[in-house]
Amino acid sequence: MEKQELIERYFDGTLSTEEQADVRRQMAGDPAFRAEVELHGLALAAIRQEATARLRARLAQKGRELDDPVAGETRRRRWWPAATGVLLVAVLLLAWWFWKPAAEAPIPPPPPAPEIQSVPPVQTAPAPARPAEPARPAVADTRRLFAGAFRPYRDDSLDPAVRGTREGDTPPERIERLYWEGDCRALVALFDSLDTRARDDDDLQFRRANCLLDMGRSKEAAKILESVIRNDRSRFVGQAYWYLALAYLHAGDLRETKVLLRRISADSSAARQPEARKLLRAID
Amino acid sequence: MGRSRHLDTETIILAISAGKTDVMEELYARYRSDFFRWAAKRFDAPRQDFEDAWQEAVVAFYSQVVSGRLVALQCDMRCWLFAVAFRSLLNGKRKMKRILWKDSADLIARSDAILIAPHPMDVQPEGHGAREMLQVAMRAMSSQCREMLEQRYFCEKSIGEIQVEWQHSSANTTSVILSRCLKRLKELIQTAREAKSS
Repeated sequence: MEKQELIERYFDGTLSTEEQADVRRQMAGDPAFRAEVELHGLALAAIRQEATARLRARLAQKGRELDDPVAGETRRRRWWPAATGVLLVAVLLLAWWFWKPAAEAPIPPPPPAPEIQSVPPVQTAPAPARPAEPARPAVADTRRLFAGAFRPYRDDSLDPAVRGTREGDTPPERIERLYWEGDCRALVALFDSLDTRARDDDDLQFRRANCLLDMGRSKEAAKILESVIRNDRSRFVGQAYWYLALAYLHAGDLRETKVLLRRISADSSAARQPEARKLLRAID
Repeated sequence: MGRSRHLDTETIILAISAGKTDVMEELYARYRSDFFRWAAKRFDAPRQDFEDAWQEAVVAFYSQVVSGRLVALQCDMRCWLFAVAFRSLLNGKRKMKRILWKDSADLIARSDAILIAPHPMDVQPEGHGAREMLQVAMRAMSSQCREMLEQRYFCEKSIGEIQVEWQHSSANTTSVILSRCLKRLKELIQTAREAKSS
């Protein structure tokens, strides 16, 4: 049995009692072998630690959704007391309009039709002066805000220089290198030639969405980012909310932009919270 | 569609064993608020502590199932998860104010019954910054390598399963890629260790 296989099976717990004893003997007598076993154990610990962190992040996200449902149910519950109040006032007003002429007449006549018609219909009543809405930013303004806020995502872990070179020739590796080098046009072109498995990689899709945003193709970027968030598989999910807000902003969809920015601003654990607050203030 | 509400323990274990991790969110959500209420009667602690303990219990359940150490439960799933989360609270928060309250989950948590069988070879990174060092090394890997390694050594998928998922031409190709990825990860860890000790 090869040394690596022996070590793997040692950690798998699939060695026989004799083989286990043999490994322990080798570890005791051979410092190099012992170091290899330790390194293998650390590598496994790194993989499990990262995978556990990702799983916990998924669960935490689910927890946030449970604690703060964006769905209309909460809004509906908040809306009911106000709606009941409005309905009650409307009923009282109608009752007052019906009863007022009858109370003023010496003999209560049947309410003549013209009088009923004279009741000012609610719809045609002059509307009270509404406070002036803040001017909606023009397209040029949203693009200016976008340009001020958007920078393609980067962190040190994306640097291909720290990666192995043996897998460097695979298309996903090329995508990662092109992204790091900022060659978005080549990246987007290459993406179309990827196989299904690689196209399903949400970490790569996140890079693609950033590139599309960089190229001004915000609607395509938005669709990809929505999918990345929905799938919740990428390590960039936290960042994806911010970039989705920027995609909406570029596309001129201020309502969706503000919904997302408010959500990011309200979550102290969210990535890009300070930027979201700043942008929200700029939009308002 | 309410699918999660009707998944029984056996179905969940089978789904996780088959690599369907989407049931994890369902499992997490199913008893979460129930656990928070239950824990609040026993511990005077911030809600975040309960959240951490609950996540830990759900992740522990997952790890036990994928490693084949848990194939069936001797108590119901709610009870198992509560007991594990309870132990997590006890271990992590010894100074936490406790309130006496007993039910079946308490009894299991306090008994000597082995809820979680630790992997005999599990290595716990020790020393200041060890966990961060491993995290940096792992995140320096390509996303393809990272995902494949997690599938093999965390989700405990077979080479054949990974080959099918990644559409590799042969099991040998998958095996070679995995070996290279693992070797690269070890190099990164070794470099980080040397940098740390120098």
